[in-house]
Order: sequence, then C-alpha cells, then structure tokens
Amino acid sequence: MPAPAIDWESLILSIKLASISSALLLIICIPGAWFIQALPRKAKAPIEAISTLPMVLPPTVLGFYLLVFLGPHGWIGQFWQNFSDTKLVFSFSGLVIGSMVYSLPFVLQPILNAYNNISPAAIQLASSLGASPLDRFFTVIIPHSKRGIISAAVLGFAHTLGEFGVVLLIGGNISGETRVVSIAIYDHVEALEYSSAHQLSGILLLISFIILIILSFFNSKKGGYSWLR
Amino acid sequence: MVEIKANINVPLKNFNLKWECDQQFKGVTGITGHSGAGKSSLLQAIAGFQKKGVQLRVDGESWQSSQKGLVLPSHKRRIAYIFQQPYIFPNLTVQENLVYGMKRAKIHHSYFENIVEIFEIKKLLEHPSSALSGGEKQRVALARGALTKPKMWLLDEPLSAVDEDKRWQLLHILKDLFKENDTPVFYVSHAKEEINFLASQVLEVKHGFVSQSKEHQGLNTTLKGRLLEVDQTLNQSKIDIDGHPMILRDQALPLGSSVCIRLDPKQVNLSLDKIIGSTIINQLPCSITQIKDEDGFKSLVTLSTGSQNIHSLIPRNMVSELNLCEGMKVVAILPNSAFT
Repeated sequence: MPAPAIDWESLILSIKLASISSALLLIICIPGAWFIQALPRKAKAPIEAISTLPMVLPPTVLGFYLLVFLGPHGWIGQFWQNFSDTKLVFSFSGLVIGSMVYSLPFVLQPILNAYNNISPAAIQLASSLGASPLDRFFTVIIPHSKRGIISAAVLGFAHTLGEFGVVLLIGGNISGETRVVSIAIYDHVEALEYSSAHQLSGILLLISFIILIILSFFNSKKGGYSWLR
Repeated sequence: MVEIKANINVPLKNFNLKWECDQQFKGVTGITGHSGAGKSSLLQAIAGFQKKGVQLRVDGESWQSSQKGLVLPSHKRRIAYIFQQPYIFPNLTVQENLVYGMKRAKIHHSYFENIVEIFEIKKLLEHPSSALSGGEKQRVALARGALTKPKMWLLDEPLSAVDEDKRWQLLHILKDLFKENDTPVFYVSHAKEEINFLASQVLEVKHGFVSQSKEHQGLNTTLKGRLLEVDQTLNQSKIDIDGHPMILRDQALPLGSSVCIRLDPKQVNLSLDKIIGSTIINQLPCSITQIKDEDGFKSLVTLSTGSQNIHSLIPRNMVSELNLCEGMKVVAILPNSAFT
C-alpha cells in the first residue's frame, strides 16, 4: 500500500493556532505579570490560583466551560455574535480564545518567575539613576527577564500544539478551520488509518522534541533546568 | 550644602530605625555602627526605598511624608546610590552602563571624558560587564553615579568588595571628587580608616537609633605629607611631614603627590622621648600648643608639627604625671593602623 499524502493542512493549522495564541498570550502576560507581582500578597494568591487552574483541570472540563461561555447563549459568544455576526464556537477564533485560556499558566508562570528573580537592587539602582517606572520596565525588567520570556513563548507554543480535549469540545472537526493535527490523528486512529496516524504523530514528536531541546539549551545557560522556572 | 529635616521611624526586623534631624549637611558624613544596626536602612529611607514611617524634607522640598502618603519617587530625587555589591546592568556594556543615568539627568556629554579619566576606566569602556573584577565594577558604579551630577550621594560600604591595594587608590579619588563640590555625601562603612579619611562628621547607628557621634566632632585631624619614595618590595612608601619622614603603606600615587592621613585623637599617644626598640612605625616630634580638659577624665592635647596641628586625647592624670605643659616638646606616637 503506498504511503498516504501528508496532511499538511492540519499541521499548518496547528502551528498557526499555536503561534497566534502564544503571541497574544505574551502580549497580555508580559505587562500582566508585572502588575500581578506588584500586588500585595493577599491579592496575589487568588489571582495566581485562578491563572493556574487550566493546568490542573481536565481539558474536557475546561472545554465544557468554554463551550458554555463561548457558545451562542454564553455571554462571550453573544457579545462576539453581536460584534462580528459570526459564531465563536466551531471557528478558528474560538479555538484561539480556548487555547489562550488553556495555555495561560504555561506562559504566565515563567514570566512571573523571571520577574520575581530580578534583584531589587537592579530596580532600585535604575530608579536612583533617574529611570521612571515605565522606563525601568523596558530597560531593566524586560531585558533581565529575556530567558523567562523565551521559555514562556516556547512552552505556550508547544502546549497549544498538543491541545486535544479543549479543541474537540469547542472546535469540533472542520477541515481547514478547526481540524488541528491532534484531532486529525484521532480521526485516523478511529478509521484504522495507522500509517497516516504514524506520519502525523512522528512529525509532532519531532517538533516537540526540537522545541524542548531549544528550551533546555536556554535553561542550561542558567545552570538549572526546570520547565517552569 | 543641603538642609535635611527628617523624622524617620521605620520598623525593621528587631527594632525601629529612628532618626530625628534638622541640620545642614555638607561634605562627607560617615555612618558607622555594627552590622545589622540599620545603617543601610537609613540610606534606603533617604533614597525613597522605604515606604512607611518616613518624613523627609530636603532643602525645603518635601521628599516624603508617609503619613500623608506623599512620596517624591526615587527617580526624581537626583541621588547617586552606591551598593555594597556593585550592580552593573548585565545586558549593557560598560559604556552603556555609564551613560544610563547621565542621559536621564540630561548631563552634557563633555562631562563623560572628565569622569572616565578621574576613575581611570577608559580601557574598560568596550568590555562586556561580565568581564569586570569586583574593584572595576565598583569604579564603574561610582563613575556612573558621578556622571548624573547627583544632589546627594548615598554610599553603602562601597569599598568592601574592592581589593585592599586598590581601596586606598579609590579612596583618594573619592576624596578629591567629593571635595570639588559641596554635594552632601552619606558614607556607610565599618572601616574606621575610611570614615576617618573621608568624613568631616559622623552619624552613629545603634540598634536603629541614629545619633551624632561626639567623639569625631571636629577632633579628627588630617596630616598632610608629600610622597618621597616607594619601596615596592615592602609595599611601603615614605612621605615627608614637615621635614620628618614617615612610613606608609604603598598608596599607588605618583611621587611628589600630597598624601592625607586622618588621625583619631584617641589613637594618638604621647611620649617624652623617642621610643627605641618597639614595633611603632611612626613617631612624630611636635610641640604642645594647648591642653584642654574634656569629658570623661580626658584631656585633649593640641600638637603642632610645625605647619600642621594634630590632636591627642589622653587620660587627664597623664598631664600631671608627665608634667605636660604648653610649649613643651614631645613625640607623638602615631598608630600603625593609621598608616596601613
């Protein structure tokens, strides 16, 4: 039996989804984490707990709630429908929102850790040298957290790439729109098309492996090696 | 000169930092005290890094009033803060580090060459900051502070990470720098010789309580000498004070330059004759110009070396036991520590 053609469409869709949602998460989390770390400890605990929830909840639970909120009767879904006249669930935009929630802790935590590791002396010094808070954010805080931000980007990307449960619940299986690679693999296995499943799984394995190599390269420079630090 | 009105009561770990002050400051104010007494916290409070319990007015301008919730943020205070462990931004080159504050203070770039020369850091400019030694880092940090033309210096044990042989070199640089303008300098150190060398007054911090130190007020004496020769094998240099040769640790200065030695009156002893067969390095013939009774059964003897005065604080009964009187020739026994 000849090898089936590689399902590029679902692969590219997955990569597009992972790139867009991790980029949007970075835009939110880079300033957001700074506000969180500046909060008093009592306010910080609940916010950190909420933002870590997606890491411990089963993806199906997360997907279910997203379906409720993003659906035509949920308030986000309704707002979206009034705004753009399209549905959010079973669309690529819905997947982006779902992925952002799903991958939030993987982007937020490394950035928060990086911010917490900045020596207070560095910030005090910059302010004694006349740098305003915004100036310090761009000239001290972001450059000192470069490694954490790279970790966050890579982890957010890799985690979204492997997303399955959430996509299945809010995205379904629309070719070119929501049929990402993990769904495609599931389909192939169900249809007993093992050679297609092998191809896609192999490619995903390779991509994930390369990503983790890059990540450990960045982390090993610091000496330690920990995914979330 | 700067007028400081302060009412500081900051809770620390084991006690409160307390400082009440309404005073003019100029020149170098040394801050001494045991480790953990609150010296650094005092600097932090002045710099604006302590949020609670600080009332501070500088030259009539309110810097902080914690009660009213008013704070002039640190970046608007024009202070140069020097940390014990010099912090050089690792993502910037030495040159970029140096101009970081200067750019923001809008200092004309012609000042740059000047300061770079004073601190002898020209050769470091293109280095990545990770390649600097502890002493070089502190030089860069001090130069970076100087380049902002600060309204006030706050130095927290700036020379503790510097090698012993480079320390005096830097002390001389600092002394000249601080002398040039009357910017007030707060200099925390537990190295007595640094305080003696630089400071014109001293604050003492004890369990968080800040007070004017009496023993140093106006009593410290600077002896000036001229560098005659250097013996590098012994790491010693010979200086001349009013025709008398004295031996110092090598100062790494060019021959002929003038050298300042600060003497703590408590450490200066008197002898009727030169002492022979001892490990005392330096004995300076002087004549007594004044004997004054002081608190605590002490007498303060003012001595003239010819062109300069030094002081010696001795137990009062010694005056009568040795029959000391004004005009008498004696030998001042200088402490070895003042010369190391």
